[in-house]
Amino acid sequence: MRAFPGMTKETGYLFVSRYTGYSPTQPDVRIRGGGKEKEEELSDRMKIARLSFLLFCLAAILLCNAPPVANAQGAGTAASGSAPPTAQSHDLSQVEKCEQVIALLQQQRSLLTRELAQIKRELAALRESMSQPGLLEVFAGIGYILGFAGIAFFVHSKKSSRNS
Amino acid sequence: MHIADGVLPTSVAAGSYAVSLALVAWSVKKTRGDDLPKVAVVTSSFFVASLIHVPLGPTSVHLLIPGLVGMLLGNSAFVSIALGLLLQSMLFQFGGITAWGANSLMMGLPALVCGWLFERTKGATLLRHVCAGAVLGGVGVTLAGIMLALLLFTSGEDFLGVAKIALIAHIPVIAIEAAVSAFTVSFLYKVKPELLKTAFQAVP
Repeated sequence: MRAFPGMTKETGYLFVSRYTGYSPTQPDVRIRGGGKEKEEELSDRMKIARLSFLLFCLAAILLCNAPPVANAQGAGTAASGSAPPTAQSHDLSQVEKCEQVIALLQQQRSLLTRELAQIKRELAALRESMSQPGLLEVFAGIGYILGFAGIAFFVHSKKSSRNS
Repeated sequence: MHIADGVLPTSVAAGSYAVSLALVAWSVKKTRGDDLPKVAVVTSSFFVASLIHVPLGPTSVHLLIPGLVGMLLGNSAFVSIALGLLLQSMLFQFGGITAWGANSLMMGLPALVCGWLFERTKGATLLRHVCAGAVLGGVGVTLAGIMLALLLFTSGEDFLGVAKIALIAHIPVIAIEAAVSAFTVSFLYKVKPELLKTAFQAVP
């Protein structure tokens, strides 16, 4: 997770968990499910995640804006008397930051998805190759057969020697 | 052509187990001690033959050789095939352990039939040996397909439909097996004809 201006540890985790559906406490269904989930479910989940993230962003902007704006206004009027930065410009910068974060997260997500798909492909190939009987099994089987034949031969020779 | 676990009803699986075990016991009793090396070699060939995949269009088929095993081993063919199938199901996961009885019947009975027919039709000349070998090599696979359909019929499948599918899917196998059997029989006839003669001799 790359840092962005104004990000604290908590907000960072919240952003990540809201946006990607990953949280340290809840198991990630997509990874642990073994890749059997349907695509529609994933995309639905993505939509919900995106929506909830946007709502969260809005709430965060509304909540977090008030104290810094008030402080800045207070400081501005007290110290220099120059025109205070308007709430609108703050809103804009916050939105820009959010967009930056979204872009970053999207970039990381696509990267992760690609890597995960590759790993899944490799896993499937590995499973396929492991299910194929190899040279070891062939020789093991032939060894068993010759071993059984040896036992049968032993019994046969015992019997024939007893008869003679 | 293997039946997997859980396809057959329990009663059929258990019944085929019992019949197979009885046939294995009979087959072991009929096996001559001097034939044991031959039985071991043919069993090994049967065990490995199913790994030889012949690419065929989008899919691939593999050899079964019940006919050839029957021709070479006669009465001992059943124990050979049962052992080969047991090891295949344990080592290769071909067919299920619970379906072992059914699989043994499916491949073993055609082998016995082919061996018996070969004994009666092979004559004394190379040509007759090769012809009988070719025909019975194909007949072995055909009978195995019919046995498969019969066994699946007990689990509620449509008999004729399954038989048709099994036979159509195995037409190339039938042709390949006929060629392989003919070649093997002609080779053995020229090189070591004793191998083709001991199939149904009585236990001394």
